[in-house]
Amino acid sequence: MGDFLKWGALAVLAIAGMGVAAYLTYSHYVDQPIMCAGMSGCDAVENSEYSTLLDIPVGLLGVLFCAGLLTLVLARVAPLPLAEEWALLAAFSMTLAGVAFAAYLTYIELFVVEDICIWCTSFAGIVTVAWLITLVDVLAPTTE
Amino acid sequence: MGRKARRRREKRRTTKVLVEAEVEVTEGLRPARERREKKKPTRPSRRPRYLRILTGTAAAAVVATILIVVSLAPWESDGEVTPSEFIIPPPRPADAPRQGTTLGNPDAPLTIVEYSDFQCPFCRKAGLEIMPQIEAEYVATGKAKLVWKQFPIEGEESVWAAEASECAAEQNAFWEYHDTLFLNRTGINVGTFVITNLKVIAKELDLDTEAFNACLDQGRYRDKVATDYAEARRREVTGTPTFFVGQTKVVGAKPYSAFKEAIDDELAKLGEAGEAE
Repeated sequence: MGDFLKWGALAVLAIAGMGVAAYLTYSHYVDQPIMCAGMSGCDAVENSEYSTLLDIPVGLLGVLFCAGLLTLVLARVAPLPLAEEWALLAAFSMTLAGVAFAAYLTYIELFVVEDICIWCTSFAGIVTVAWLITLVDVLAPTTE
Repeated sequence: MGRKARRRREKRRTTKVLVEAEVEVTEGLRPARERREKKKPTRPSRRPRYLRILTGTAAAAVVATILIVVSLAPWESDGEVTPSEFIIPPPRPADAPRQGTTLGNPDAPLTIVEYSDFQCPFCRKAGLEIMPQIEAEYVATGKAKLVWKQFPIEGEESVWAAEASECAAEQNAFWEYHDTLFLNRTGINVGTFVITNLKVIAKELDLDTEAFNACLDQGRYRDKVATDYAEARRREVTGTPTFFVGQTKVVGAKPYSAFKEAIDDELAKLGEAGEAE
């Protein structure tokens, strides 16, 4: 995958993820049930005890995650010298951690809360695609 | 120097500038790794590639593990709330008309239906902060009646609390039980609304505990709760709390002004319909 395409795609995914996570954070702090695209469960998931980590909404962690990913993309595209060498590996590690945590949250949705939140699932999907993009590049043969 | 020679010289100069610019542009577009290699062609990777991937994976695993452990740790509660901790609200006026989970004059022109869950934080807010204002202005004055419907979406303690509240309604104490549950809500499925505690609350409210306990143990209102839940789904209720003020759907613990507007609009419609008849 070309550099421009790869980092561009990661930037788009980070922005999309930030939008989703920002909406979840907003709905957590405001007395407004989540728009659920005709599906049930968003509020059940968002109001569950698993929706916060040490009183920090998981949505806010998502916003910070996407902001971090976007910063990496910008640093790499700039390009900052350190980012040239490390941005891909950092993005790979970040998104891998994101995928693992999203998988855990999806498990909680399915088997503990027993309801699916379309926003949370979308975020998990975005993180997974971002991880796959970095994975392909990390595994690609290089001249090093 | 002839004109032709000058033109040739200018052309050569232009070509040189264009070539240099092209080189710069090409350099800019070239992937960073290539440029780096051009500048430092012999620079070796400080660590083998597989080791870097392994380090990244390990770092990700550590971060994810920490997040999951923190998420699973029982930060919010360390178990069941002991009975002595329950807050008992002041009793409601004895003469307020009520029946089952309905509060207010049964012949009131407007019906406000609330689909709610005792564990949901926004339902608590609505129940303790907004509904009392509606009760004072519209229910106590006979303009509207309030109907509670069970929509337990937060887990098993929500279902138990819903069934318990129906058992309290059997003794005409639904609204006292409702207030007590919301006042004592501490989280979601944290052990506050387990069966033993629900029985203690009934005792604290001076209900007939033998009848209450039998009702709860037998699951007498399990079907009623399921019916309310199914009705909510049918009415496309997706979150709690959801209200139907007459025909107007109000979603969430909206400010009192939003409810007032909906109620006044519905009452105006009812008034117009009454005049037309």
